[in-house]
Amino acid sequence: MASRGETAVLAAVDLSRTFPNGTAAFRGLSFRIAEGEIVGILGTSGCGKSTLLRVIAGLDRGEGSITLHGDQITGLSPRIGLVFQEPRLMPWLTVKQNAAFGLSARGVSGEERERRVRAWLNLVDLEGFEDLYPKECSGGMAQRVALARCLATRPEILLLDEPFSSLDAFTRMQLQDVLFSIWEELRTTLILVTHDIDEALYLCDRILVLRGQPGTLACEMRVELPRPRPRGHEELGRLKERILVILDLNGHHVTAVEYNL
Amino acid sequence: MTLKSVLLGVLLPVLILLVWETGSRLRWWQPNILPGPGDIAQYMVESVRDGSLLKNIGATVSRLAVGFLLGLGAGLIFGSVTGFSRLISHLVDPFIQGMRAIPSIAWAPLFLIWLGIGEASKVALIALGVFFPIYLNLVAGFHGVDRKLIEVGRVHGLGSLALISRIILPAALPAFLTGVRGGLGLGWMFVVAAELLGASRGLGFLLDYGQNISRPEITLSSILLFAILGKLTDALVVALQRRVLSWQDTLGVAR
Amino acid sequence: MKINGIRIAALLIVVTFPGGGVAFAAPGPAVIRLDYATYNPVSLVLKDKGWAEADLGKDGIKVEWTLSEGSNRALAFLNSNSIDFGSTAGAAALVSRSNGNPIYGIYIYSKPEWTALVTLPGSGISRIQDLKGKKVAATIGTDPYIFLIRSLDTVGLGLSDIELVPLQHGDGANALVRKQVDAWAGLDPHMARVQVEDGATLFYRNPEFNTYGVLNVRKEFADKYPAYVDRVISLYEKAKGYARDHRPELIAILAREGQVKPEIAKIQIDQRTDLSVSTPGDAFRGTIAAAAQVLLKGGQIRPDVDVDAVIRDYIRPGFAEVALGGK
Repeated sequence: MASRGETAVLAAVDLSRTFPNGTAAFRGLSFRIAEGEIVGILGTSGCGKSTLLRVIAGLDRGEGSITLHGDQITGLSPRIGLVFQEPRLMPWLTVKQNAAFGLSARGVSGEERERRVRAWLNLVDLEGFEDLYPKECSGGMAQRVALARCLATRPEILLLDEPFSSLDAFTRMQLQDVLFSIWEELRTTLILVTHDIDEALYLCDRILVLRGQPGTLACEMRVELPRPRPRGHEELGRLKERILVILDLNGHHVTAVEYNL
Repeated sequence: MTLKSVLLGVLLPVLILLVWETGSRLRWWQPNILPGPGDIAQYMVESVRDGSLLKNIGATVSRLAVGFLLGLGAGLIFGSVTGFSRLISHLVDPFIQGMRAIPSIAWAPLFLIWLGIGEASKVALIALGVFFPIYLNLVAGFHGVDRKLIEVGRVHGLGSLALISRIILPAALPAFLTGVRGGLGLGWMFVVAAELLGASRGLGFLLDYGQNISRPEITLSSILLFAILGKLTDALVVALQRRVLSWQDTLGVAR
Repeated sequence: MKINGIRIAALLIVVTFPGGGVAFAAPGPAVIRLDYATYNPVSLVLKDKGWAEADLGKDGIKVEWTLSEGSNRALAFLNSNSIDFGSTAGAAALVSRSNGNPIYGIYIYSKPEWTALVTLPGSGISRIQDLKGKKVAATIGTDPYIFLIRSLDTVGLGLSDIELVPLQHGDGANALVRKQVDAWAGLDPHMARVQVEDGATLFYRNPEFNTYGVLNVRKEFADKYPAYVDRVISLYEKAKGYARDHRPELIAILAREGQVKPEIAKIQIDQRTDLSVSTPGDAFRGTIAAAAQVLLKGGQIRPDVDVDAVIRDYIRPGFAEVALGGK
């Protein structure tokens, strides 16, 4: 189900992941992701969405097929970047040095690196904070640095694993806007794992809804509304209700009767 | 370090000095058992004048420096390798832990036989004392590195060596410096044991010499100088810790 | 006054109870602490026979023995009030006394030739002059150390002309045998041991430079319990008499205590131990005064010390004269 003839960058066919101890994280996922799309992976906890992201990144190996431009993903690649739920900054490096970490890991140095780091810190609105240490940064600031760190190496695909879930609601919204403005600038393919339905609806072109333990693909939803989207838009509200219904079915549907209330 | 904290820190030693000087002048005890600060000061002045004190301090400090560097190097290498590789850790660590329990005085006669009565046996003994805290703390530092940070390194394409140099070693630096501080302290203690192995110069030699010729003020001078020099070198490490570890988000940086 | 049973009982108890009511003897210490050493063979006999415990035990006094591994150790024990009587060389005691150690020299336990300069054959050392620049082991604060200084002085050398390696007597002997040092200022029985077992040679001997084996007592003890100083001296004299008359047994005791073979102990006892002198007299005074001159020169005795006054205060023949009837 790729979108309207755009190039498929990532393709998964019957992708599953079973842990060594026998538990399955997710089963039988098939999807395609086009270049430049923002795709959300939404689901309740335990449905394997973070694990799915790790398989796409190459940190874990799954069963089935997952390809990047047709080549099987067998391990980590500089073409795929990963932003974690925690900022995971190196505490002994300044904001600037942390942002430069990915670049220097790939051997970029000197003026080129300086230039790119400065540009990226501007893009995430951290100009002036270059010399702070992580201990002096708020959660939102730290996550911006993590974003800059990842994007500075210009990955083709950026995976984000619940990147804003540990932040307060307002910071979350700010960072969603930061992410969007980055995407507008670069058109990098983004795959965003989240449990926040509003977030998915605010940012994504398509949303893959996972359900169950192990997770299976319950539905693929398209969000046609042009971005930037007003947060309170009624179309978003309608879609949200649909998702809530989807997630409530075939799960632990507890009624008052079952609990003798 | 505020003026207040310095004054408070100095208060107790000054009080002790006053009581000590008063007591010795008023003959609260026999002078041959405990000479007063005045006698100690007199000996120190004499021995500075004839150059012997500086020679002795120099001998001890240079032994400690060489032994310290050797122990530091060995601790860095063994600590890193053991910290990083589970296999090597299982092979090597139990043996090293066993050796750690042996007190310095017990090693002394062994080193005397193996390495003779020259500088080699003394420096080796000091290096041994310095090695253990550095090794142990570095291994603990390695094992305590947050795996999440290592994952970031892997995602950015770092290989094993790069992971060690860019992430593990910097992350283990606080533990390492703790080990350095402990190693320095043990080094001072092992210096005394080392210098009792036929050294003809040094503060440890003075300690024994004072006993041998019934001049306890020499022994006490030696003890005093050990305390002062030990504190000074320790303060240097603490200052280093403060500077290098200012990024730490902890309750107190290096007290 | 009615004589009743209770009053008689009380009277009997008071009269017969040791130390109760009327005291006829001067009060003594609860314990007397002696030392023993392989360089004081008489002390080994006294300890072995248990005469001190038997005699002093009659007054309810316990006896404790401490091993001294050299004059330096014995003097440190005396200085720190760990023993009451200590065995040392005369000159070593004088140096210690001049530095403030409050002791008296009260009895000569032997007149030995217990020290000499020792080397292994093939070391290239046959005269004192050959020691220049060499490594020499010696125990600071003991007779061998002083012997070394005086020997060097005879050829115009000082401690700064050699490389002194401070080691306790036994360790010094071992260092010589392991060739870790070129020469050693020796002390019996270790010296006899390396002669017999390792072929070491005594390349410089000088009986005059050996400064007698002296029994010292702490001033405080002597001032408080002079009668007991006499008692201990008498006990020592008894042990010495026995030692003189029973040489083979003396050798056996030394061999056992010093952990050396009997033929080694025999060398120390038969060739190098004279048990004829007991009271510290003019000969003794002359010896340590001569030693003192060299030590003043070398700085081992501080220049501001009035050596004659110190010697006068240190040597106390009075106790021995009383105990032995002026022998």
